[in-house]
Amino acid sequence: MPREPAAFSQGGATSPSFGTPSPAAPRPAQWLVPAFGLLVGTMLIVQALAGDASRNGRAGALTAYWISFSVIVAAAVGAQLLRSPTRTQRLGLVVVTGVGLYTIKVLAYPHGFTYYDELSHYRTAADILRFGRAFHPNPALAVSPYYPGLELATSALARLSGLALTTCGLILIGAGRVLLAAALYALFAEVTKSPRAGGLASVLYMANPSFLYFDGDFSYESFALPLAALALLLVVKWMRTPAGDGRSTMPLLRIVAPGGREGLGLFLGAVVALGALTVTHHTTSYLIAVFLVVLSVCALASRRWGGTDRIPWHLAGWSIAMAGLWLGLVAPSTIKYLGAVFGPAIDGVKQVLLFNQAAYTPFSGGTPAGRAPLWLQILAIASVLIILAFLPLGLELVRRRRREAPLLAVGLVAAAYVPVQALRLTGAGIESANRSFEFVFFGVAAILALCFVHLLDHTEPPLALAVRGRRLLGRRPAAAHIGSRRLAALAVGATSILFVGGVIVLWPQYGLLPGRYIAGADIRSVTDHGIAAARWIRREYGIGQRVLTDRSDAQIVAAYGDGDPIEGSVGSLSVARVFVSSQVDGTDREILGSKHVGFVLVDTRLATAPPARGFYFASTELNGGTWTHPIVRSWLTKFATAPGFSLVFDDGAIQVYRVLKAVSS
Amino acid sequence: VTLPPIIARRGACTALSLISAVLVLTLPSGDALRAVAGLLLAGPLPAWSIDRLVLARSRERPSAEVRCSLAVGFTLVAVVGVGLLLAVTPVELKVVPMVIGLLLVIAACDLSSAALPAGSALRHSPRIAAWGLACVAVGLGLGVASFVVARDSAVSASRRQSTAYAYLLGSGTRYQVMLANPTSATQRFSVAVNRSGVSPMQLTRVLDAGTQLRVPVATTSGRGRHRAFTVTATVTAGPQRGLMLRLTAPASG
Repeated sequence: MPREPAAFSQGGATSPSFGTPSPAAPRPAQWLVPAFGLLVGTMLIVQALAGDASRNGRAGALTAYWISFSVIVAAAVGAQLLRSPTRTQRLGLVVVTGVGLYTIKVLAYPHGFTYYDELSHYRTAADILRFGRAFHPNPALAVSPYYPGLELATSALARLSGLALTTCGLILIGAGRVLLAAALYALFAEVTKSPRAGGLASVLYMANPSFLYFDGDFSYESFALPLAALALLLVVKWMRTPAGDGRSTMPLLRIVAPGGREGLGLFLGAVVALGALTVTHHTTSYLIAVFLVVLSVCALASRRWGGTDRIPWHLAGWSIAMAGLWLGLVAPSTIKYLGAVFGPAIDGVKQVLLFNQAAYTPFSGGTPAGRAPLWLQILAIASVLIILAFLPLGLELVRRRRREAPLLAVGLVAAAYVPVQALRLTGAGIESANRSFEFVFFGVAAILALCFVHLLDHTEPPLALAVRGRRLLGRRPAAAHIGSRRLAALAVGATSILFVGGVIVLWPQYGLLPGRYIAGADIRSVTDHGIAAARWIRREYGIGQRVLTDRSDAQIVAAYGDGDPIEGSVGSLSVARVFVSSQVDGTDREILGSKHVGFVLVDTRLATAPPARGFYFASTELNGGTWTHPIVRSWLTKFATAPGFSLVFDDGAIQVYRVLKAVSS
Repeated sequence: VTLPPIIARRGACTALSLISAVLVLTLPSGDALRAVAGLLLAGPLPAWSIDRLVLARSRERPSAEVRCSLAVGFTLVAVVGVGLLLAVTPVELKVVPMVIGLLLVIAACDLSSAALPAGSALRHSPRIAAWGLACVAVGLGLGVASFVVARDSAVSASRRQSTAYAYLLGSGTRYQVMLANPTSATQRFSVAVNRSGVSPMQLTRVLDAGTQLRVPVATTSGRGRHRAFTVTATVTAGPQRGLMLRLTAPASG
């Protein structure tokens, strides 16, 4: 058994202990990781059965889902709070937790890509596989082909193994999840200088609302986050490597890595990882570049307080240069894409600052069916309050260790949680806030872990400071007052709320488990009907057909039909007008002609319910966001009697109309 | 457990890489052995050689989490790098250049690691009690079983969702009316055809599971033009009894 550093292995008795160190050295519990794996496996079976029950409309599916999910996260946090596990055991626990949570997502839809973003990136991967080249235009997500890291790896794996793209995608995202778990643990352990806090922080990071589904789907961000964690790990390792006097003997290395010979491998490794990140995801690469600048400033500032970490200016420079060059030379369309995402957020902030009450819309949008019940909404709010409650203590702990530059930078990231939450209060800023969680939680997780470990281990009374005042509890260990096991149980409970609340914050009820078709619900609107229709169009008419349809079927047409779904507007008119009018009039014909629409794909199931997301086609459609009744069925079927259309496909739910030339002319 | 010296492991890695490359290049797509060989060549084998690269030539032994991060991380980076290199050059992302690229990565890592001391962080592995191994095996088995349960459930649901459909082929002057029954049961269809100016036509067809057929409907007139017509196909027997499908086409010219 590899020995642990003395600082990490002290305390505890022969049985696993949570709290105050005891003189006897603990024996690592050999059973811990296997038992945890067994528990996770059992809960995954429950998840699979819950999915089956949900598909068949049986009761109790959601209850089974929440119970099995909560057991996994509570056990993961509880195990990390123990003092006895070795570094390797903590690694095992973190990896099993990460892979287990990824499997929950896979079990919901195990035989294909169904998430909105997955369909976009599937098209990019399919194009690379088909043409053997990168940068082929993608009508589902125009910016995706210019960040092809994930899709290149998937296509390469499909070429080598002969497996389907979906299988290769699942394997790669799973490998990415292993990397993310391991790299986060290594990084947090390095930053906090405690494997226990590191293990806890890496599990707490998984409580971020995006982690369970959004960062587990087949999309570029899911693949970029592990690469970012790897790059940061190498950077922090390099910062902690003592700077020597030696310079590289090779002139090229002096230019590439001016930091000297010490830690040269780490420096070059970080540059390579940053390069892979640059070609994989825009936002992640930009935020990592910003973080490296912040880290450099923190390293510079920490020297005033006696810090000895090396300053990663050159790595920040590399990151900025690579991201900038890629943006300027390869992917200039990113500016327009990100402008559309973050522009509304800026407007939302303005509205909040101007006290415009209409901007405050938490838990709004969509239909009541999509909203969580009250008790889950309360948990979601509680999860935010728990973080906000611990932030001041965590930041105080960081302030005391301000000589450590990486910890200082992590504290600054955690502090960004407050403005991000404020952004969520604006209707327009929700999208941007949602995209920030996975980055902000990098700091939040570390801070919370520091707090929990501090509360369990140290002799200062932070709880008393926060609640009753310093004198009441004196300077005895907080654990001594509350009891280490009780305190640990409180920590497990609080973090379980973080996990459950995190899922509720971001995901509607219907998105958690598979089931029957729901109109305007993205993932629950992707069914075999749509896939069969899209594949029929490709089979009979070839790839690249221009199809006008609703939001979910448009993604299906792009991904599985290799078609070109129509979106946007003609002048000031949204193309969705063609569907939300009682008859095909001149304006509709103008839209169809201007956009060279070849087919109109009508999903008559849209008329069964108001859209769960608030709109069927695009947010700019008539009644977009305000639908209280389903769309009128005759609006959808009007093409059957309108001149210039031929009903060429019908499966009872989906009808495909071919637009004849007479309409365009 | 003491692992064999690095020279022996390097030899094993090289041999396995070459065998995998040959299997990938010779076996057809869809072969299980080809899939295993392809996955090995793009995953564990590069990770194995990358694991022996020591980025930090420091005094301390890299911890398990750092080794794991470096091995998995740089394997992914290598696959992305080779893929990007091929996909932006005239070489294109094909099997042969991809295999050569990955073999070069593995060879480069092997050569780089040769200069390092034989002792590596992999010398010892933790002892796990037999029942611990059993727990791991059962846990993994449960994970696989959960996937099988979920996949079977999804496939069953997918089968239930599959539905008969009707479609038109051709355009302009000539159409073909087609019926398809991708469900897992035989279904009987009653097909009614209404053409303007022509008396309606009615016929019945039985479609076995997973089949499709052309309905003999004359859509053209003597001059090569066709009249406007409507086809209504109704399932009269089978699991989707009552399902009504419609097709329409305007008159040509």
